[in-house]
Amino acid sequence: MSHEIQLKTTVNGIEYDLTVPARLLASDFLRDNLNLTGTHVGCEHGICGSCTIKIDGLTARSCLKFAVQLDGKKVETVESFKKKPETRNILEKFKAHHSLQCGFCTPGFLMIIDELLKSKIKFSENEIREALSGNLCRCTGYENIIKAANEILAHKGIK
Amino acid sequence: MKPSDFKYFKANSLERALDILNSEENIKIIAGGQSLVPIMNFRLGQPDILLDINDIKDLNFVSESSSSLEIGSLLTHTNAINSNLIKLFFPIISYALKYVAHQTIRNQGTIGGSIVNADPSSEWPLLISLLNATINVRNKFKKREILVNDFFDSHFVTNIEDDEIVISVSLPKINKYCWAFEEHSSRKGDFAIVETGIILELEDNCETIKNARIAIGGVDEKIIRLEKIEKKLTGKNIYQDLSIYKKLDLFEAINPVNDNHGSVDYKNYLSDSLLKKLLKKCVYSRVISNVT
Repeated sequence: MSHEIQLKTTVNGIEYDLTVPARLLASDFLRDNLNLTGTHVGCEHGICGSCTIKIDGLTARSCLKFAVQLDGKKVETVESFKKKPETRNILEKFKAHHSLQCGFCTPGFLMIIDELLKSKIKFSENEIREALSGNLCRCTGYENIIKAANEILAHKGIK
Repeated sequence: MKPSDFKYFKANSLERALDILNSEENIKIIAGGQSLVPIMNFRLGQPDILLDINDIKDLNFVSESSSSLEIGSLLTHTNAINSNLIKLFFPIISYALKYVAHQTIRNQGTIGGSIVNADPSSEWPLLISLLNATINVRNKFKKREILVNDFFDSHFVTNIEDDEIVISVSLPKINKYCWAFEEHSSRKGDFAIVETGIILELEDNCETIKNARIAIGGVDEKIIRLEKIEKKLTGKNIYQDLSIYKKLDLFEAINPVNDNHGSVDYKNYLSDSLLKKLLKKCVYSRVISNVT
């Protein structure tokens, strides 16, 4: 019998109150328990970035968090992107620049770009490339992702 | 790639955490989890109990005293990079931490987690060696101060006891110094193959070296301080005499191994060229002064 823990968390604005095994990874919790399959599970050791989510406004790899650690936190997954105009804009730019082929890595890239967008600093193209380098993509060769990111972040004010 | 079963405790006070550490066995503390969780996912580590300390607010701080800067063990890399106090006294920290993985990892990883993980290619272990840190730890009954020289034992091994927890790291202030840090890795964000940091403490004339410190990581079982070279540089003029550095003094002090990142020769070559480059860079960096 695995050890179970009570968990109260808010995911994309909806409150959940569940009992989960202590060893359940946050990525599996989102996908299997909440059916939010937009968060993708790639390497499961924090390298590929496909499982990136936001916890209390900061990006985190959900394969490196346990579900129980989401207790009391506000979590955002890629499913929240359609709801808000600024994140919808990120989706539209990805579409316009053909920034994905198979789409496996896309949720992670979207999360990172959203985090860059919300920070107060203006980024150079090199800094954008560097920020995106933590996420792996095996189809696009990155160029189209960088084009979309540059356009999304181009009109950001300087602090 | 799923961790084995464990019991999970969340401590919201230091007292509670120390009680649990005192009464249970095969227990691991989780802070950011950015090294621990991969280890657990691979089942290289199978603790019976996971103790989550993220809610202990007392461990998340940066504070200043007349002689030192104290950093709480739960401070994340992102918060360290953004800390004005750290930027003012030790810009080398803000600079070097940008080499730690990627922002998402830096948002979660902590100084305490990084130093107890004791990876000899990591940035925090090198920084605290270079800055002559004291590590403040405690168990249920007593506090203990460990000098950084006595803290690291080997790859992933420190001298911290099973019932102890890292409270903070104290960094003695330095007046008038120049610094440089750089690391080489195959890709940005990877662990360093070789990393080097230099601090040259200067006399009032801002030219004579009062005290040299050089630390190098990735080329031995722990971070190495190049004491022989440090001694030779002491008393020298930074604009004239840095050519006194000799390769052999470096190769004598380090002990790289052949692995999938490179051969011994390659790592020796990298260490030498990085050190030469950084000595030059250090001389032309802005002297940090009047920050006591």
